[in-house]
Amino acid sequence: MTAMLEARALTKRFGGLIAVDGVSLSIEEGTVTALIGPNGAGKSTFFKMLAGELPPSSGEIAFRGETITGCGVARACRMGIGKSHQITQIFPSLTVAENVMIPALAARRGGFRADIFGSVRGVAGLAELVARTLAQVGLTERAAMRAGDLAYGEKRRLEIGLALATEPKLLLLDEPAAGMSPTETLETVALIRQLRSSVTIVIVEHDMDVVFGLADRIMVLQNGVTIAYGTPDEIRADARVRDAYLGGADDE
Amino acid sequence: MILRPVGDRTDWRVEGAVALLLIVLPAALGAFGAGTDLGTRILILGLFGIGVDLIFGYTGLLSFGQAAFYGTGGFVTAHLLIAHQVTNSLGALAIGMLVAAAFGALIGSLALRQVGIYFAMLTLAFGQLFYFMENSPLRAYTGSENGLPGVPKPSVGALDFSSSLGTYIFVAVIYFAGFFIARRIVRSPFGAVLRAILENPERALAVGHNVPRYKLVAFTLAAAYGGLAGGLLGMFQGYMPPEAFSIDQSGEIIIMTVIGGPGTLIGPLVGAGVWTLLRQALQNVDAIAGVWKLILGVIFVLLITGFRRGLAGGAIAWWQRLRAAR
Amino acid sequence: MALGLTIIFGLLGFVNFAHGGLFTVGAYAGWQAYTRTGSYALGILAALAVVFVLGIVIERVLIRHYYARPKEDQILVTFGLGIVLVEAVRAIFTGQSQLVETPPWASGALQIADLVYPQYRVDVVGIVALTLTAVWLIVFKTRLGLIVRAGIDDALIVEMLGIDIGRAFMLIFALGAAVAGLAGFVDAPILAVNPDMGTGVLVQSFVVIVIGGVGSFGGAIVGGLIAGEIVSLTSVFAPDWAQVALYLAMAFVLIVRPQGLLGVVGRA
Repeated sequence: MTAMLEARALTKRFGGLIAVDGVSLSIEEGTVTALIGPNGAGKSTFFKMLAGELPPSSGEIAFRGETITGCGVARACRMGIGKSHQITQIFPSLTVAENVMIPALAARRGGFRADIFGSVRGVAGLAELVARTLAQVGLTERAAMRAGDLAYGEKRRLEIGLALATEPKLLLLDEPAAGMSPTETLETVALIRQLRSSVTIVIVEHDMDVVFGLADRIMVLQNGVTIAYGTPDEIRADARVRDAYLGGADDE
Repeated sequence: MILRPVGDRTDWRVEGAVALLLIVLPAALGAFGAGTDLGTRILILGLFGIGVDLIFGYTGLLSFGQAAFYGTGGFVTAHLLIAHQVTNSLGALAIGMLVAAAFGALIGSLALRQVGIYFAMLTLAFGQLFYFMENSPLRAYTGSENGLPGVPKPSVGALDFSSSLGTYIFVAVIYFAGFFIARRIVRSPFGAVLRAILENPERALAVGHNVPRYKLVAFTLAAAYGGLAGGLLGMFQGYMPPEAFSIDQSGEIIIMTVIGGPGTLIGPLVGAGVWTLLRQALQNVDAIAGVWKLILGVIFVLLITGFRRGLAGGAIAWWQRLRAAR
Repeated sequence: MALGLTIIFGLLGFVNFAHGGLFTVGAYAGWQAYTRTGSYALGILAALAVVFVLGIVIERVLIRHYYARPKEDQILVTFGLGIVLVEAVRAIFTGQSQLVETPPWASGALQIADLVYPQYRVDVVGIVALTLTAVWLIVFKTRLGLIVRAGIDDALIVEMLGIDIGRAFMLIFALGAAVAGLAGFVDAPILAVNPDMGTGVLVQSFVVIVIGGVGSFGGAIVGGLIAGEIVSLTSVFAPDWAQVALYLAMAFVLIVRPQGLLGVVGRA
């Protein structure tokens, strides 16, 4: 069976610096894959290439059989790749519901429609998608609140919600638990667990508990190169990984 | 800065209030010793400003070249009417508007390749381009520094709008139509995306919207509004001035929009009112006659710094807070 | 003129639409000093000093708050500021044009090879060259310039090193302003001194910067030369299109290579 996402020998050069060097990754549908590695390993850059935010210097990406290398964020999104960012990027002065409506509009209306005289009520399935997404990230009660006024953890949930409202087949989560308290982290993990039944997930995380608790496969990057790839057990036992993290124990 | 949340409101109160304002305005102006003509001028600028508000207040595009469309629409309309190629006022206006919109699409497709300052500078460059085109190469059509005199007053079929009040009514009806349409646009899904682009264009793109195309359509719409307003200007004055293309004009309409309040659609009208009335009032007071622009400049700077919502914007926000508190 | 803009825009990443206003103020300040004392040198000093101080005041009071604001707001506020400056000048000095005489030591014409140039214009080139060198020295050779250049790259670190970045920015802004003021006075005998003199020059200097390159001194010079050539050449072959050609060139560059011919990417 063709993998859902195939990244082949992706490389990214910034001037003289090689951030990512020939990294390949194959993602099966319905799995959770985690991307870990010390700081500066190239995880963010690799992730950006997967999401279409950065065109690779060389290499290819195929999504569900179609080549999407360098097609750009908007198209990648419309094809079914959604991303939640490490630094929350929401629409602060809109309400939570309106925030979620924006990606939902793209999901239901496509990349562009000049419906300048239309009405949001007229967009088929919009309200339902918004309501469903809000419920998924537990923000239904906050729907009428101004997004800028949310608590940090709630904003992170909204960030994920925005990615979800694009109805992705593949969800890329960039450090979803960043800056969260232990309780919030647990809630996030629970959320991700719920999501895995409906969407394929790739997650970049530093929190090892989260990673080992969720992932089916883990890929370890260091200095732009893959140093290990396998199941959590295999990774735990891998000497190179332990060396890479020097001191093993992780940031909590 | 933007106060009206996105979404669907079948609430006609705003439109009603504006209609009321339009009806009452000539009388109000009369009470202050100002003529109806002043009101007409304010409306024309207000209409021009609706377009500017669409791109600046709702989409976040700051363009210093909108006068290009104001002038284009104006001169095309004027020329058609003077040369008797079109005798229908509305027809001439429509053609002027369409030509302006076409240029809007053309310039937009070039200028929107850049963002932020570069975009602003590009629009500035194009604005100047149009100004100098009017001045020299197209002299035969545009009359260069002299503009085009002899533009006939508006008329529709048997109805003659040439009196002062008549022209006002003609312009007011068109303004209202423009306002009404703009309200629809802003409340549509299209408008919602524009709002998203205003706040976070990268995220809007990341969730799948074709941001460049939305920007282009918005820019074209703004050009259309500008062109329509320009056409009305020619009719109103009986003369189409080259200053319509000037960088001063581009700057002034931005100032009016900011003073009135970006993102409110009514803001430019308020701003135009303040600008025009203040100018009128101060010019009658000898001691500070030359200073009206200075005062407005200071107000402008103060507003941007401390009160970004502008006059109408602030009023609306206050009103909304009152309603929420109940 | 373009040099001053380049300094502010290139170094501070801040767009200054008030530059035309500063140009005008400089012209007026210098003119006042010159006509009252009969000394051209004093005129230059006055232009520089007044606008420098003005620049400091503006930076502290207004611009300072805008570094973190969106670019559109920066443009708007400096645009408004420009209007305030021009109108203030108009209010104080009335709107009439004033003629400023070229100083006696610079009157007459020079003959260089076959071409005759007004002496003053040649001197202007000299003054410009001097200014350019001085500014270049300041920016690239002094500690102040170094601080600012470092500050652009990473303001936080500079602050942590205990250096007052705010003051550095302020001085640089004032410097850029002063250069504009100088340009105003130097240009006074050529253009007439009136409140609107700055606007045309402002737009043209934008063109120069765009063509030559943002944030680059060489760019300001090259841009100026190219712009000048474009206007001159088209004036000869197709006079109607002279100004149009200039703006077409600007648009072309902005579309194709927005950082200009010699510019530094990443400032906007």
